[in-house]
Amino acid sequence: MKKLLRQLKEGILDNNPTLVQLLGMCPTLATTTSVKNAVGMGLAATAVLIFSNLFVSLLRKFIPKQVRIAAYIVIISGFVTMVELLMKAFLFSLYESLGIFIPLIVVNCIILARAEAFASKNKPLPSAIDGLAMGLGFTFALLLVATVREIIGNGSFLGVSLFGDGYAPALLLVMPAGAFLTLGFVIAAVQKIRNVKEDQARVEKLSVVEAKEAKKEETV
Amino acid sequence: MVNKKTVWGVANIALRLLVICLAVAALTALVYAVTKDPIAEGERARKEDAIRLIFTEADHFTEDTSIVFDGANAVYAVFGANGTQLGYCVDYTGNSDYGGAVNMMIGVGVDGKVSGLQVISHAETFIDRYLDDNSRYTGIDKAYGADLSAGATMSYHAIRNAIDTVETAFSAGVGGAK
Repeated sequence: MKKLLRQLKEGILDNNPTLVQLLGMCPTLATTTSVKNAVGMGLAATAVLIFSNLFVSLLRKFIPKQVRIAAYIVIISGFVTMVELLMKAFLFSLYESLGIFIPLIVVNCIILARAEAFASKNKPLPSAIDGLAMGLGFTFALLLVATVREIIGNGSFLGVSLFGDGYAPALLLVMPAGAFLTLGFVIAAVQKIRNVKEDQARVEKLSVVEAKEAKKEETV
Repeated sequence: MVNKKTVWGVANIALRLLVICLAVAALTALVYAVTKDPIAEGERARKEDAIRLIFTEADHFTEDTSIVFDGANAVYAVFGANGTQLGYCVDYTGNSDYGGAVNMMIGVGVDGKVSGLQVISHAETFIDRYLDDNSRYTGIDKAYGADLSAGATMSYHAIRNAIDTVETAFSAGVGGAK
């Protein structure tokens, strides 16, 4: 249980694929114009991550290492096709709004990276959990960026108007340039929060060193 | 001379890759079998909704197999409650060169002019900017224009080309214009 929680924390916060490893930038920039799209893309990628990690892990001793990348791509593209068919059948409006970015999950480097770095070296259960953790981390990052962009750039959250008709939305934020700006600020904010403990430790260490030096000078 | 061991090694790799491909294909086929009917039912319902949104007074419609032209998947003759023909609806698939196929339902009045256009399915990223909340294209009477955003121009041209093709087909004496 502890291991599971640690893996989840790792994927969502400490080693977040988007905000820390800076992977999957293209879908992050392109699909975060609204919270609905971001959640849809995040969950679709999570489903692909879980099943591709599981499948790669199950077949890790069977996949020849010379063609492992080709094998991973076959597996990943199969699961993306399945997710696409399921979305087309049961979540058509989301399928339409995500458009070309659903098939492009195949080339999302988070999925290939986890298959190569984790699933190919670990047992099925930890691999599936790693897929879940990384998928949730990706969804969390998309959600953060989309929330900022939709609220400021469109004056709404999940399509519900927040500020009424008088609000003049900052359209820049829903444009591509706004995606880069928002993502930059979100990454900076998350890095700042992650580094608070490290910063405090560094400041404490510095103050101890300074105090020692001051004492030395006094004795001299 | 080719070493037997090398040949077997390559064949072994190819066979394993083939097994993986077959396993993935089998799983995909299973999901396809589950989703095939809901997808077809959804498409049929969206097409019917599109016809009723274009011709709000439509009572019933029948497929007219005598009208055939490039891009048209089917042409429906649309009738009002009293049996008078309101026009035609063309189930048309255009290509945007960006997201691929754009499936539209294009309404043509009895005068041969396009009177409404609904986008049924697409994989475009920017197409929504040309559509209202009901996926209805709002610029039928507008002249061509270029949108400088990447992809948007291609989406726009897919729609405009579809309108041109359908108007040309009907003005040539096919369907409503005759």
